[in-house]
Amino acid sequence: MVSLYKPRIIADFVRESIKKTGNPLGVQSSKLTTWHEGLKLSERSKRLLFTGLLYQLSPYTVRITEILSRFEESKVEKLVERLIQSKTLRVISSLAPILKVPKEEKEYYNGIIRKIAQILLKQKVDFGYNPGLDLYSGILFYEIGDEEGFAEHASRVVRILKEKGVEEVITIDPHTTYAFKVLYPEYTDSEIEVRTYFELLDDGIEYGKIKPLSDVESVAPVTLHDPCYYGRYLELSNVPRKILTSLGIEVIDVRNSGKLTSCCGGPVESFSPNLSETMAKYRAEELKGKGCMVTMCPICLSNFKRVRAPFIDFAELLGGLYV
Amino acid sequence: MRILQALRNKSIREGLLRSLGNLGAMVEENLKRYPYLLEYAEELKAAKLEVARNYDYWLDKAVRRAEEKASVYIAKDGEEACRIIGDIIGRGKLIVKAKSMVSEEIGLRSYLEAENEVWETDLGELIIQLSNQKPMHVIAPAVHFSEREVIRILGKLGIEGRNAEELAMAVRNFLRQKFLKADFGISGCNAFAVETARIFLVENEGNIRLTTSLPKAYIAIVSLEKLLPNDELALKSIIVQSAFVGTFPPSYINIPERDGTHIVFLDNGRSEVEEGLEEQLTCVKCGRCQLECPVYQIIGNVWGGETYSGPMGIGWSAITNTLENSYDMLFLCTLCGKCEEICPMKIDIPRIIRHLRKTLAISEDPHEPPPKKVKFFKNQG
Repeated sequence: MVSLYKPRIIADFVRESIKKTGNPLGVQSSKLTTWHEGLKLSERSKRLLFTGLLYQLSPYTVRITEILSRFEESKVEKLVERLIQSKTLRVISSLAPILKVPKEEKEYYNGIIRKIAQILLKQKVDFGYNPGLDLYSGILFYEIGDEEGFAEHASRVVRILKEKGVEEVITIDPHTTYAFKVLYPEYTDSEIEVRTYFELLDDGIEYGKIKPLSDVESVAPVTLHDPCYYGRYLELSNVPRKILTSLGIEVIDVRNSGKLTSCCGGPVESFSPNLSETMAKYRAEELKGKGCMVTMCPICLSNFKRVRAPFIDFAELLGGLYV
Repeated sequence: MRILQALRNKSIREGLLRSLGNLGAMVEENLKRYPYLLEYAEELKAAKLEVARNYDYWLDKAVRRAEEKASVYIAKDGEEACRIIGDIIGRGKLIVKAKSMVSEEIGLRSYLEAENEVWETDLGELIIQLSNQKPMHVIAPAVHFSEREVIRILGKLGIEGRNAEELAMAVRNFLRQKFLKADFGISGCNAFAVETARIFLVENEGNIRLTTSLPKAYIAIVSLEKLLPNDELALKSIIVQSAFVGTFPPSYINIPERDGTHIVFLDNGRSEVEEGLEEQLTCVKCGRCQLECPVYQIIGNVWGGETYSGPMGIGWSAITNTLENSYDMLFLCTLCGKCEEICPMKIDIPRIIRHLRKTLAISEDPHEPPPKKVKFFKNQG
């Protein structure tokens, strides 16, 4: 008998949370779209920065996973499952005092998105942000095998964006990017253009806007942990490398990178948090000593941080270099 | 075994990574040196899918050809296969076995052990037999045992040695006596050429050659997915399998043709595979996905079904109805896609797992396999 938190219970929780609050953890959506304050981004642009909410959800995921991890296979595991099933837990925001998500954690992940926006502004990319149109992609529906639920959710997202005249979205994480680039055209009538922020930066290199750093010697070499969706499914791993190389930064790769990248374990974090942690530890060990460890996915990043592996986000690296 | 227990059991990871370290680089080297391997793999996949679409036709043809030189039987499921083989053998016989996942799948060894003396002749599989476990890896079943544990396990037979080499030599001496006296040899089959009714077997230890030739009679279990139209494709199939295991060219290719041959064709769910699982039937069981999967590298065969585990094991267990605790098992996969990337047949395993998540979620009892199987492949021309 294999032991893990019952996927049926977790899947039901996720499904209902998305239906009620628009995101898989049931966090009040308005709390997730405050990162842009002070940046004065236009709400009416046809090209919107679309965070998909995953970076903002990370501090909540980490806290929940820590709790699940503590009780995995313990005497109270079943009790935890029953709690997840109970109706009172369906809106996590009502539990904020119990979850105690540290403010600095929320600021950290919000800060990454701000960095991305600032980098794009600096590159003179024309884009806007509308918190009311920044929605969860619904990709978890797809991943748990609920294709109907996914098609329904995705169609709703597409309809809302279309109604507001959105023609293009700029995505910032691999899961949302995969949903928009590959799944939406398959499951909906979406014609929305989608580019990741780093593909836009890559255009900047083409146009000669990104210049090599003047003082490259002070920048340590970098090793990239490619998220599975970017590295394997979307085959985008050459893009961040090209950006770093054009800045004069050396990228040191291990065998398991690009199309052969190894999973951080994030996707199993709620079913077996301890397995997920072990995967993150081994992956971090594999990349250790090669250079500054960088990833570009909030799920990878938070999973690595949970095991205290010193990873930074690609946007933090770039932001530190030229914002 | 529970997950946390598996996480503490470092020998699973050490064993699998040791194997990956030994074999992984060789696979990459093979592919670089012999680019035709990828062409073979592609050709093979198309052929296997084509045969799978018409198992009735190919099985019928295979039986007719095989009857010209052997006694032939058809088993609908594992139980029937065991009964057939039990009837052929009788009681009180000495049997030597080649390592065969299909025989694991149908529980043949324990079935025969009730009334006969049975020996696994692959060193790793012998260790599995003696320790009463399920194989950790399709090709390297005992990869998770340390040398010390192997010394202890083989000690049960009075086999002694201070290190792997000495133990291997002692096992060889022990088994040689069994080979010489054996009444029956039993093997699986890596590929079966329908046109010529030839059984193709590939190995590196030489024990399969002895198993198939020395005993008075020989029984081969041929599961439907091993059927291929002709010798050329069958040969390509074992070449692809061994190249993606890492041991290429293989030390032995056996095509046993002898008197006293019995061929048991086994279906066990294969001809009625539900839509969405059909690609799994093209798997050559090289086990590369097991070595490369980041989940499998840590918890090993805790993740999987009764016989088949890891990425390829989910689809195979579903096809052969041996996926215990099925719905829950599906969620130990991260859908990272590494298995598809390194699979010689490019089987979209993440899609298979998502498909099963979908079909098992809507079945009444999540721990039961999907209630109805749709005959997808039948009569589609």
